[in-house]
Amino acid sequence: MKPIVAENQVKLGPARCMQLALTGMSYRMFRSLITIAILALAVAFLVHMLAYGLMGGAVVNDAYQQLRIERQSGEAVTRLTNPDSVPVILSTMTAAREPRRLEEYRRWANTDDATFEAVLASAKDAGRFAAYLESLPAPSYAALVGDDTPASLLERMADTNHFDRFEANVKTLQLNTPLGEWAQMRALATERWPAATRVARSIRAGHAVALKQVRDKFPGRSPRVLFAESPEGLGPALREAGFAITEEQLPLVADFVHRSDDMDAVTAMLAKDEVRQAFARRLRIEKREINSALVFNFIDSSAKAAWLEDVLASNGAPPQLTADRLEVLGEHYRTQARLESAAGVEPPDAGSFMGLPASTLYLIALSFIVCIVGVANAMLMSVTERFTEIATMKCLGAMDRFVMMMFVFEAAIQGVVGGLAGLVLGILLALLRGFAEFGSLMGSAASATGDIVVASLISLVVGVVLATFAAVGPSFVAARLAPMEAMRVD
Amino acid sequence: MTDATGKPHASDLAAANAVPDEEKPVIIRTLRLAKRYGEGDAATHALRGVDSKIYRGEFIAVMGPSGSGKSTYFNMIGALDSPSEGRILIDEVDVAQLSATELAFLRCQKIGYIFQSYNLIRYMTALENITVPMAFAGVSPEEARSRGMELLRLVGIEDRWQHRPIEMSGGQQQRVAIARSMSNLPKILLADEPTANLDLKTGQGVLDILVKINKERGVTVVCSTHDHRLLSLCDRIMWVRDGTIERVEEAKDIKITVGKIGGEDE
Repeated sequence: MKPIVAENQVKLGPARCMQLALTGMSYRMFRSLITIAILALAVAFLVHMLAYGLMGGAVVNDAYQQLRIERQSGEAVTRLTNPDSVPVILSTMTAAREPRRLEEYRRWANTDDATFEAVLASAKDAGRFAAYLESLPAPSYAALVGDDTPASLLERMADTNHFDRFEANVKTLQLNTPLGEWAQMRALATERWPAATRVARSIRAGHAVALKQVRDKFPGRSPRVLFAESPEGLGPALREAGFAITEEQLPLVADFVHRSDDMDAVTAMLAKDEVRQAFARRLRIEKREINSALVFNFIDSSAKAAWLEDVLASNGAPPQLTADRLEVLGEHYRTQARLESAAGVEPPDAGSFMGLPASTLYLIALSFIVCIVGVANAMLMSVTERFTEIATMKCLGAMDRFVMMMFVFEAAIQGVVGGLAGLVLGILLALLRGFAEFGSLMGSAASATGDIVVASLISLVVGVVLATFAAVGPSFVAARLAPMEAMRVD
Repeated sequence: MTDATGKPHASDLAAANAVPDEEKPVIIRTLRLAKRYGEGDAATHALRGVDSKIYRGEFIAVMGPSGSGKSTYFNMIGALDSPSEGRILIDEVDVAQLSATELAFLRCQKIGYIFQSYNLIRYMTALENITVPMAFAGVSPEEARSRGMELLRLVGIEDRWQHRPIEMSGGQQQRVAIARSMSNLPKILLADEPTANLDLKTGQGVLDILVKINKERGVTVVCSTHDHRLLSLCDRIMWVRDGTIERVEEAKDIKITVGKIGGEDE
């Protein structure tokens, strides 16, 4: 007989490893399914948080846009009624959120660009000063501001005596210096802010001139009527006077005026006892409980609208309140309420990552950790309970790398299957929750589809990679042990 | 053949054996083999400096009470565990000097293992279990299949080739384990209490197969057991106690005693 010589063991290819991993998984189907289910749940949780966050973000942003259009329509009417007051002009410049109104102010200010920019810079510093005051503890705030508001305090500090008192108070209270340096603060309060106030006055005057210009062109019509009728040449006339109202905006404003007129008419009808009586009977409630919100929420079908038309018509309502119109008003009211509640969930642009707000990011981070722990635990369990099998394989001549590869394959397969299942589950859950929360507004969520796909892929990859890594650790330990040591591990 | 470090102990053994062993080729040799579990005062000494020789082609029984160090000795000579001290030479090659791939080759191709608890892979059929070591050795699936069926015939359960371990009796599982241990035609077969979990009749069948493999194929069989029937079947008996080898006897010297025990069995 030939003596035993030391030779190197044959290395097995990935295909064979894969085959063995699949055989093992198919036999341990139940156990594998549990592992996959845990993986799926972990990934589903993560995907759900991401997808829901993105959908919600899209809906909220859209709601903000729509509400903004509505608000701008309202403002258009106001701006055509009276010139803006000086405080309104200053606070608008401080907030700097309405680029169109700043454009109007620039035209009406009647100064050069450099001066106007300087006023905007002063407004920005005034905003910083207000934020500084708001950030103070309540007792310090009360001591410094007293009966004033931050804006009126700044105005009064134009007087040097007053400013000196303020400076002394801040120093006594040992607070931070506003705007960083006293010199800067003094310049703002005593020079720049009075200058800004002067410019604001000239803006107000410019606004008044612009109003007169428009009124002279269309005499005898109130701004509401003017917008409602939208006579020929209204747009050019407005722009000529310096108003930043586009041609596309005019029909929106006209709609707004019509609608609010009609809604006011309906609300006015509610003052009549007969109408209240009819509602009370119909809804089986007390007369005093009836208000306009209740009424507009009530009109959610053509039958109800028809009933209301009859009631209103028999009590001398204006003829434009037809059943169709009432239904439109009801629908608009409810949409508006939904938009407001959606937009109230979270202000947009509050977050940094993919436009998600901070609270959602926190939840996503949390679910990420849950996902990691869940996956790692599932894989650790499935490997440690198979130490004997690993030991047996090593007794039969398996190489360490083969044992490792088998587990990596198995984990990867489980990761992919579990991840995909989790993906579907997570997105379904997010959709369900989205529809429950936002209802018909979910249409706006379609714009987030791209982001959701990216987020889903990230979650899937996270699941698969995590599952594999969590399996590699313990199987590496098991593979490195001498066969009998591995068999002793329980 | 003679090793400088092992010499004084080897001569002790030779005296006990009362056979001129210089003529027989040695396949496994241990030199001052020791194994401790744990550290310091709490350490358990499973083996305390064992010197032994196992000859090529013999059937040797390792007897001893539980906890005597039998299993540890087995794992050591099978290269399944590493010793705390001492050396193991398999065909005069020091196991400690083998690389990981050479160790895997040794376990796969040169040594067959049979365990008390069978250690079959639960999710594989009998035939698949037998082909695992052949797959590790790079044998093609077709070749492995036909060789596997042949081995199943050798152990007498070829009709159960597609049953899984859970669907078979203990005796059948142990036969599959024997077939698996033989799959790469090893030179050495290590059986650690192969009949401990079996009833007398099934155990006898398993022992018969081991003897058949030893006699017909010339495979060296090392078999630890409590089963006294083995005494009449083997060539030599190694008595282990408290982590040392108490004595090694030629089986023919104690045949009479064994005959009596065998008579009680029947």
